Amino acid sequence: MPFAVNGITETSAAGGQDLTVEIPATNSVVSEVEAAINNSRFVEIQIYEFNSTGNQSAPQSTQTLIAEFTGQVQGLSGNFTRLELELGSALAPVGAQVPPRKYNSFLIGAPLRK
Amino acid sequence: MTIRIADPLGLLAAQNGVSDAPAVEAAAAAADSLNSAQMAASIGEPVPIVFCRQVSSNGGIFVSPKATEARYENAESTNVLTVSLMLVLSEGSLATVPIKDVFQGACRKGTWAQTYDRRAGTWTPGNNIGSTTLSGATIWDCPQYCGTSGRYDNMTTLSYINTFDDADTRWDNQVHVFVRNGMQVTRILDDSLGPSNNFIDLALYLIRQSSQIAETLIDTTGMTAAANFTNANSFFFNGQFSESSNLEEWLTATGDYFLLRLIQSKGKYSFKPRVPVNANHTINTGKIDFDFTFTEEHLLPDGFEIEYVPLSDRQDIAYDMIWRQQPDADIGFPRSTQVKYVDLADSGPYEQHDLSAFCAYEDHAVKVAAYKLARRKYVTHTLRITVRSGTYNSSLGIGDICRVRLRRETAVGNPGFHDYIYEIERIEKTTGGACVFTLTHFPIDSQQRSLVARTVAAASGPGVTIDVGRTDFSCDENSATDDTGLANQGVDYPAFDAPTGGSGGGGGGGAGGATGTELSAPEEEGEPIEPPDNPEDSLEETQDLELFSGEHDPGDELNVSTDDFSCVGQVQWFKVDKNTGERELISTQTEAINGNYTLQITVDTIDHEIVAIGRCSDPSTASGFGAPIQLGKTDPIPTNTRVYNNIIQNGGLSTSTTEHLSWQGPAEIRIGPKCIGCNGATKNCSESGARPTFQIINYYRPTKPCETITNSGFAFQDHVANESCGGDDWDAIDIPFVQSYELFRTDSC
Repeated sequence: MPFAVNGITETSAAGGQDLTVEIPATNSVVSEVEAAINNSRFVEIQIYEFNSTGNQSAPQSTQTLIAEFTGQVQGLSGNFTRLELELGSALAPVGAQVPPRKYNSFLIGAPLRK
Repeated sequence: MTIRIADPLGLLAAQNGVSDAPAVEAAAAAADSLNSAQMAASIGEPVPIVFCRQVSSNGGIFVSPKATEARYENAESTNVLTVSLMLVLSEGSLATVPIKDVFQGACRKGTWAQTYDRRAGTWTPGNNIGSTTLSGATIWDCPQYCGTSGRYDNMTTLSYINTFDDADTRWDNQVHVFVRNGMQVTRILDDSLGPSNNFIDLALYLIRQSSQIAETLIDTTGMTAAANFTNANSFFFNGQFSESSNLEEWLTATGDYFLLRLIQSKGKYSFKPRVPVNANHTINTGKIDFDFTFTEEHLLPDGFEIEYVPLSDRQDIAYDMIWRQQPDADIGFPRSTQVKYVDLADSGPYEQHDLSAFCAYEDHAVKVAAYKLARRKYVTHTLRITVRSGTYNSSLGIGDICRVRLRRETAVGNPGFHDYIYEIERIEKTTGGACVFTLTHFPIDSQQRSLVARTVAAASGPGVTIDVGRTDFSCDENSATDDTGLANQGVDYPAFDAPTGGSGGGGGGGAGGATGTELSAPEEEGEPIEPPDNPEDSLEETQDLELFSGEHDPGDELNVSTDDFSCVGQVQWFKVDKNTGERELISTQTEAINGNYTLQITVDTIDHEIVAIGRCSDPSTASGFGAPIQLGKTDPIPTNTRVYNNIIQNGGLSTSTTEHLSWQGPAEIRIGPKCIGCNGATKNCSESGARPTFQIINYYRPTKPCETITNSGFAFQDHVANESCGGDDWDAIDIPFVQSYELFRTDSC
C-alpha cells in the first residue's frame, strides 16, 4: 500500500532523530500499528535507490540501499483514513531517569531521621 | 508533546562542543567534608552507584555512604555510647572492602560488616539511651527515629559499630569508605563480570537499567570501539553516581569529558571518538584520509550555507581542569591543573571544568582541556551543504571525514577555491533524493594531519603528586595496612522488619510485602456489546417501507415500484451478511425501468439478507441525496446445496442423472435463474409451488474428444414430486443437503 516517509537523519546532537511515516488507516494497518505501540515492537525502514527507466513491470533486482532506520513506534496520530507513525527510540530528552533506582519503603523501610 | 523547529547552523558550535562553557562553576565535587554529621538516606532519593576499578594503584573512589538505620545505647555506669549504623554503600554487588579502607571522619575505626542483597549487621535499630550513674555525664542527644529496616534488594550494605566515651563529640561524624573496586557489571571488552572503570560499561548499565532504549537499538560494535578508545587512552571513570539526571543529557555531557560523542545512526545509539583513531584505538596523529570529496558537481542550487564560530568562542582562554588525586590508601582530594597555550591567556580568562567526580588521572583531564583549547583555536566554521544523491548516500556516516572543494569564480582566469576538510556532524537523507550534510571544520596541518588530534595526543599533565598534608595518624584505631576483608554478616528478613509475604520485589524495589501493591494483569479490551441505539431525531425521521420481505431464492426478482417510491432519486441494493451484519453494496440504480427498480437475486447473495435503500434527491446535502428510506428486506437467501431426484431435460433425451452424465465432460452446476412448477413449466420463484432449477453447463464434443464446446440450459425437475403433486401446488418435501457434487467425464481427456 502507498505510504510516505520523511527523511532519515543521523546526527551527533541530542534529539530530533525521529522518523515519520504516513500510511493509510486500513483495518490491518490500524491493527498492526496498535499492536506495535502496545508491545514496543521494532520497525525497520529501508530506502532504496533504483532507476526504472524503460522498465514498467517491476523494480530491478539490483537496488542500492541509501538509508535505513530501526526504531520503535513512539507516537501515533492521524485521522480516520490516515495514520502518522513517529518512529524513534524512547530516550526522553527531558525528565530524570538515572540513577535508575530510588530508595523506597520496600528497600529501606522507614529510614533513620535526624 | 513534540515541538519541531529548524536546526539552525549557528547552534552547531554548541552542539559539537566548540563552545561549551559551563553554566555554573562551583566547588569540586570531590571536596566532601570529612567531619560533617552522618547523613541519613531519605525515601525517594537515588540509590548511589559506585563505579570504579583500581588499576596499577590508581583509581577507586572515596565515598560517604548514607545511613538508613541506627542504634544508640549507653552504659549505665560509664555513659559510654555505642553507635551502630546501617549504611547503603552502592547499588549492585561490590567486592569485599578491606578494613584499612573504612573510616569515620578521617580515622580508621570501628567494627564493620559488609553484605549484599540484605541488611548488614544483626543489631536492632532503636534509641536505647537510658539514665547513667556517672556524675556530670553528657546527655547524648541521639535521633529518636532510628529506622525500621528493609530488604536492601540488590544493594551492598555496611554495618558500623563503635563506642564513644562520655562527652566524645565525634560519635556522629560521617562514615567514609574508600572503594577500590566498585559495582560489578559485565565488562564489554572482556565479557566478564567484575568491577569496571570504563565509561561505556557504565553507560550501557544505565541505558539497560533505565529501560529507555531497547537492546536492539544499541550499536554494540560502536560501543565496543568507544570502550577500546577510552581504555587505550586511559580515560577512566572512577566515581560515584548519585545525582538524579536525565540519561541522554548525562551521557552527552559526561561523554564529552571522555572525548566521546553520543550518536544515533540508523536509529541505533552509540558513542564515537571525537578525534581520529588508529586501528589500535590510540589517537591518530598521522595523515588523515578523507572518505569523499564534494565538488560543485554534487552541490544543488542554494546548497551552501556557512557559519563562522563567533569571536567569543574563539578567544584564547585558560582551562582550570579539576580532577581527583586519589592516593592508594588515603582520602582522595580534588586537584586542579591549568591548561593553556604558551604565552596566551596568561591572565585569563579562565574556564573551569570539574571532572573530580570521576577522573583520577591528571593526563585525562589535561587531554580533555587540550581538545577544548585546540577546537577553540583551530576550528573556524561550520558548513551545511545540500547535494544530490550519490554513492556517498550509504557510505558516509557521522564522524567521517570529507573534503569540500568548490570553485569560486572571483576573477577572470584566476578562480579561487573553498577547499577544506570537514567532519560530518549530521546527515539528513530526504526521500526526494537530496542529502543535507552538516559539517564542522576539521583543521589539518601541511601534512594533512589533524591539528586537534596532535594537540590532544601531545598533551600531558605536570605529573606532580601533592602530599595530602596529613601528619597525624594517631586517631586510627584500625591498621592502615590491614587487608582483611570486612565480615560478611547480615540478616535477610530482620525480626523487626514486617514483611507480609508478597513477591519480594524486583530490582527496582517493586511491590512486595506491606509496602507495595501489584494490580492484577491487564485485561483484553473489548468492544461495545450493545447495538447502536441513538435517539431518533424527529426532524430526520423517515418512514421505512416494506415493499418486499420474507423468503426468497436465487433467481427471484425483487421489485420496487415507482408507485411506492415515487421521488426522483436512487435505489441502492445491499446484501447484509446474516452472521456478521457486514453490508455490501450490490447495485445502485438512479432510474426505474418499466416503472420498477429491479434486482435479480443471484447465488452471490446466499446467506445474506437483501436490503433496498431509497434516497430522494436533495441538492442541499453534500451527497446530493436526502435521508435513507428502507424499502424492503428479505430473509437470508438459502444455501444452494439442495438437490432433487431429477431427470435431465436434454432436448429429446430423457434419462437418469447417472446415465446422462456418464458420457458428458466436466460440468458446472448452479442454481438456475428461474424456477419451475409441478409440470415443468417455468415459474417465478416467488410464486406458490415454485421449485428452483439447476443449470448444468456441459463441456463436451463427442466427435472430437478433448476439444470442448459448451452447451447449457438443463433444468432438473422434482421427479417424485411431479408424480404425486397432482396439481400446481406442491407439498413440502425433504430436501437433502450435499456438501459437494462432482461430475466425471469418461473419455480420455
